[in-house]
Amino acid sequence: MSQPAAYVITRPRLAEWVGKLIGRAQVIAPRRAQGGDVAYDIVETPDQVAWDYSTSINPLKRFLFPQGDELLRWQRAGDDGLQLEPTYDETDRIFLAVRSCDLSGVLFLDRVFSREPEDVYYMTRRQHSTLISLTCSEPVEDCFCVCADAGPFLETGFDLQLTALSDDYLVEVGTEKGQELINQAEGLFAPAPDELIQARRDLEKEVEARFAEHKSYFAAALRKVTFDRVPDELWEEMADRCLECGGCSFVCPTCTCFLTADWQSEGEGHRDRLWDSCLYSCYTLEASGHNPRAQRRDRVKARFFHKLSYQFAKELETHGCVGCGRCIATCLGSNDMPTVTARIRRGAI
Amino acid sequence: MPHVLTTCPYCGCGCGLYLQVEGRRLLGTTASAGHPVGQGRLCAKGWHAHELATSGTRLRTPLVRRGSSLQQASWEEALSLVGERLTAIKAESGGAAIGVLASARATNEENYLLAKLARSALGTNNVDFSARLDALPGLFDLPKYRHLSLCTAGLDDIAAADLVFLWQTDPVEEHPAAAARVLRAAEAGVPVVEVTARRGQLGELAQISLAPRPGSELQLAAGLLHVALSKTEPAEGDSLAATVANCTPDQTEAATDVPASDVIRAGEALAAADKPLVIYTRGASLGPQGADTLMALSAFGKASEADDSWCSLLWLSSYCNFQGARDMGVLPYFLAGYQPVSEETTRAKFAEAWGAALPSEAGLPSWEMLGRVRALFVMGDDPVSSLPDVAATRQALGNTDFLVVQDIFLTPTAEMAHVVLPGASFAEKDGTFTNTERRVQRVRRAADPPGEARADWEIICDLSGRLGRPMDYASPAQVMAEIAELVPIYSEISYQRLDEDWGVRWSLDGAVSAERAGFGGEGEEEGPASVSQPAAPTVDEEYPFVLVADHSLGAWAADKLVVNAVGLRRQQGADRGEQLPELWMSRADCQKGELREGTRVRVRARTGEMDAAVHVSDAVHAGAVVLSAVMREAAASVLPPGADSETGVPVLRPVAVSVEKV
Ligand code: SF4
Ligand code: SF4
Ligand code: SF4
Repeated sequence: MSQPAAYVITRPRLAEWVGKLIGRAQVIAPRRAQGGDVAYDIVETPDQVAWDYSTSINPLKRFLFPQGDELLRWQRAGDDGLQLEPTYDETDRIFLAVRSCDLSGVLFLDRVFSREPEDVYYMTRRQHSTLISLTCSEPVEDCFCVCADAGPFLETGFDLQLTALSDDYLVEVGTEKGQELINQAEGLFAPAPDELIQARRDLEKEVEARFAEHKSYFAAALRKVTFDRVPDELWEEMADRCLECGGCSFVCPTCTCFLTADWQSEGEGHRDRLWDSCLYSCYTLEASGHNPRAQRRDRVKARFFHKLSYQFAKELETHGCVGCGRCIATCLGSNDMPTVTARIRRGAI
Repeated sequence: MPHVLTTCPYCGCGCGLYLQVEGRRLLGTTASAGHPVGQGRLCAKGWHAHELATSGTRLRTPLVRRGSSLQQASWEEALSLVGERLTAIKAESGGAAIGVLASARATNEENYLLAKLARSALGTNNVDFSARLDALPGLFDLPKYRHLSLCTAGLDDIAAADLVFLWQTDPVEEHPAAAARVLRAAEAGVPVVEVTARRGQLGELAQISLAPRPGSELQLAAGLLHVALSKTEPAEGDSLAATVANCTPDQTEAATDVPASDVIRAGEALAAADKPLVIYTRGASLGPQGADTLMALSAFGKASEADDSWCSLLWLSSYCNFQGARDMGVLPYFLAGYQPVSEETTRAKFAEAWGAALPSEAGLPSWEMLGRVRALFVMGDDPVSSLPDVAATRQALGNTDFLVVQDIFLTPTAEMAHVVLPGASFAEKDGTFTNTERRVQRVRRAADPPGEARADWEIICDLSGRLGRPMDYASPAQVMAEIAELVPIYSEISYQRLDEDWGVRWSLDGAVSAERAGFGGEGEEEGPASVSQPAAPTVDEEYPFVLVADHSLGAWAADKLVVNAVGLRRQQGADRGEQLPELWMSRADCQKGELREGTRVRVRARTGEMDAAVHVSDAVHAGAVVLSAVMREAAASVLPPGADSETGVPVLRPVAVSVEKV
């Protein structure tokens, strides 16, 4: 596409459109769960989409790289044969109204899982998914996407990007796939007038200025971590503040550690992969009983080296944090990303 | 709803979590951000909670013993066998010949129904759960002490406190939701005083670390009280000051090895505190002189600047529904809501509601029940893993004429059963758990039980019918409605109310007075009656170390809810297979004895010996050697289970040992 296309849709029509999408694919959108927390979840009716949400408790990877995922099944065939059958998930999924940081998280996962050898399980799900993001106009207390270059508005990466502008939504098309969705929704979208496109640009500027207060100091931390200038005592102190819950890995849109486990009962079985966390003491435990990262300090260091060093940032195009802020809420100790970068910058707890 | 809000099935904190479901399949677990306990956080157990439900090792069909092996059976066969045998034994030997163990992990509704079945259909008050030992039941049974084994404070009081004691507990291992709060308090500058033979992770942040010789914790508590009380004007007739009058810092140092200067520092911090909070768990109650130690801790508030509205005791239970099991009358002496079985009016009230006469004789506690009853029905309890004397427990179970176990995994107790009934996990049924701070919270069905397994409340109803007392409930919500009718402390609980909020804490005051609930009120004792000699064993040249059984160390790694959860078992280090028991020893003592990590050693006590592998630790204080309490079967000859002289409750006392390279 030469010129990115933009459309406008009114709020009532938006609901109609969502209804159509639900008829066509599994639609995953922010949804209020029992108790009031908002989670990305399967929606069955358009009114279940929580358009006014700030952040969701779960990242999108739960649907593309589930916490517990069956990889293959096997069955004994005859006397000496085994019949193996990989379990690919080809469900069509539309991710709707996802935050920019979360969409950036998916793009990060794409880069991780498409490296050779490609992860077929993830890529199959990805090929069957459509990403419709929703820009942020209100900074949320805990997030800092601006510092992570992952929002609040995106230039690319989405199939469609929605921006709420008074009565209407501006819809920017990012891909052919996105354009296709517009084309299929006869009469619901109209080409966006120039004023609306200008209004969106103005909003972006205004919002970025407001988001700027939400900082994580990546630059200094990146340098110090890359050149190993963080004193061991500081890692040690951070290790005292890690209670090994694994939560930071689980809520993070960019974390991808996993392990596999096999189940079997008479004549059949399956292999699953399960999320793992680099902070678990058994993460690096080898079969011999030797554990190269037996000290929690070494594991904390490894985590942030992975997230913050140039080596990894170069390989994966950005550092491994999209600024979603989830680890702030979920760290049982106090090793969330902004706190850790601030400590590293200051050089002390 | 694909995200089902429920309550963590592991420790007593009761964090809220969502089970992620697609179809009827459990995909994972997410922390609830708004939940008042978890506040967006979970420990590793919570993050892996779905794994125990999806485990390939779940019981899927009833099992009936044929000869020496347990074999698959139909529900009809299993339940009619249970019905017939229990009816016959009751007819031959009376209801008192039957015992019932319910569970600190089953829901309130299930505990209530099983206690009802025991009393109304089987005619027995032998109703208990073996994990109840954790809270020093000997004390609990006396109303005037009951506040000591009940969380009068709440988890959020940790954030409000201006001085925190971690008394013989390691919250990082035992109660991570509490640990998260202590960590934040410490970072905000609140002084933390750690009292333990093995420093926990939070010890690194503690301002004062006290390491009393194992067995001298009571004397340390008395010493702190002495210092704190000497800072204030003694009230007239103050018996507490008189009790601790001789526990001077020097005396305390002599009795506990804690330097007098540290005793003074900690005692003065206590005296000056407006909101001191003592966090304690089974480590304190199961210690020697546990009863008196708890009494001494209960006087800490009085020795400080705290006013009467501040509760300074935070008891944390290690099971998701420990509190609820007691609330529901899974106690030999009380009907639900701590209403005494001995009271005629109480019995009459329940008899009318239940349509059956109820036994008036108090029943036996779990540790006395085993070996004395002919038949035992166990739901979700595992006395082999909970009671201190493993060998005696196995023997007693082996001598039981008819043992029925209803559970989700084949536990060591279930392995000995005549009939095994497969129940549902927390993810497969509706109900409520009551957390350690008395918060009643919903447990919600998110998936179907595996195979032929059934929700436990359905099994109980079915069985009760076969015993001639049909129970007719359409859902656990209906059971809760009946509980609310009969149990004053639950009178405000309904599923509707629980759904509107994050659960409801039943109150110690207000609508339900403390006295009606049987807690505190008149006659509440303050402090121990006297401070006896330390129970610390005397060390000498032959036996130079004190060996202590640590209840927080490795407890989860041995728990069936961890061992059967595929990712969690690895996280908890339960994957390492059969190994020698690990003996934690200080670096200094290891150097002296030229012992390295993994060195095989022989531990000798006056009563016997055992082999162990050394773990060189910076957390253990010199002179102490620490063994996980879950190793007590292997260690029985060295750490012989005994009974608390005060309460008769079985405990593991520290002993003097020698440690030599094999
Ligand atoms: S490190 Fe924290 S803030 Fe950054 S993407 Fe991961 S969870 Fe979000
Ligand atoms: S969330 Fe915090 S406590 Fe949990 S593993 Fe990560 S750093 Fe450690
Ligand atoms: S702290 Fe306790 S209740 Fe909370 S997640 Fe951990 S085990 Fe569950």
